[in-house]
Amino acid sequence: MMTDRVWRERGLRDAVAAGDDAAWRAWYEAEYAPLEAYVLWRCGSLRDLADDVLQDTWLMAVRRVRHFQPEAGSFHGWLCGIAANVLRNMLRSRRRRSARQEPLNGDTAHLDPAIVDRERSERIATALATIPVRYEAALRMKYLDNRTVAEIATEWGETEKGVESLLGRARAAFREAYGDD
Amino acid sequence: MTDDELLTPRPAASNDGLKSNLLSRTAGRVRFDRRIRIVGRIGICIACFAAGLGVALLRPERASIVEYVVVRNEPGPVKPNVPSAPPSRALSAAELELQAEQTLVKADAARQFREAGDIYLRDYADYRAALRCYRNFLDEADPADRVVTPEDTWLLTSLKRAREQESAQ
Repeated sequence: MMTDRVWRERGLRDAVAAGDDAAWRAWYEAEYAPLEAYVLWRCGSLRDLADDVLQDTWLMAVRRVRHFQPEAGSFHGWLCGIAANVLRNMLRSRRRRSARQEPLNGDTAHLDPAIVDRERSERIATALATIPVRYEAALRMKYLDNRTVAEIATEWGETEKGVESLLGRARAAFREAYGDD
Repeated sequence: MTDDELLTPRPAASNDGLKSNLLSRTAGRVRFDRRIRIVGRIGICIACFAAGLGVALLRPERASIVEYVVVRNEPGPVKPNVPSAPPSRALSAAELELQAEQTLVKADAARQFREAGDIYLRDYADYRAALRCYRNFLDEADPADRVVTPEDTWLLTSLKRAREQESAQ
């Protein structure tokens, strides 16, 4: 069944694909803030990393907007998928780079709080990129979208108990990927 | 820190400069794609035109057109006692039949119908055409020619016999 969202997003996609930059501006304005919030959350609120991810995500989105299928999911979901892939690649390359720049003594506890906070954010981002997609989606709905367990259960067609269990497993997977403080 | 503390998004100032910069870059990309498409379409039109022009200029000269003019030979004044000149070449059955239809002299017409019938029967096994010619021959022929002779074909013999029976009745 065609929903309003599908009709609207299909119309916008076709307009943008035809070169209508006004349609693109409207779409961009509507989607920028939710995507920025998601990317910041995924980046552990690291502003510079989030800016890099946002930039690559939007540039890739405008290049590939013809391939967006509204029937398969929302534009926001599509953008989040691109952003997650971009972030994963960036974290991978950062990890390779940082492995070559390891401090000689290996002890960072004495460093200033800003650096500690940054490292924590990077670990959050890495942990969120590591856990399974379904766990990440559950945590996103819970912490970023501030949905209740009942709302998540309704949207996913599951029982509240099932969602609670899923959230518990997701938190455990996140904690395992994050490690100890 | 607890999981909730780690996972709860921290407030962060929005980067408006990045937002407007990205908007101008992405909108520019949309416009660029549109221009590329327009240029592509124009290019296709030019390519088609050039291809047509090339074909027109480079194609080989066509062979000279041979025009066939049909000249109709009107029958001349009738000269009953002067036999018509024999044809310079062997005429086909259709030509003979046509000539017979146009000939006003009955004897000549009968002879040509018969020859045409013979050719249809012998060379083409076209019984329908042969039958038509033989019937015309019998219509045009003198009574002496309507008698069965050894030179007659089997079809003409049959026709002559049938006519004889009809006239006897």
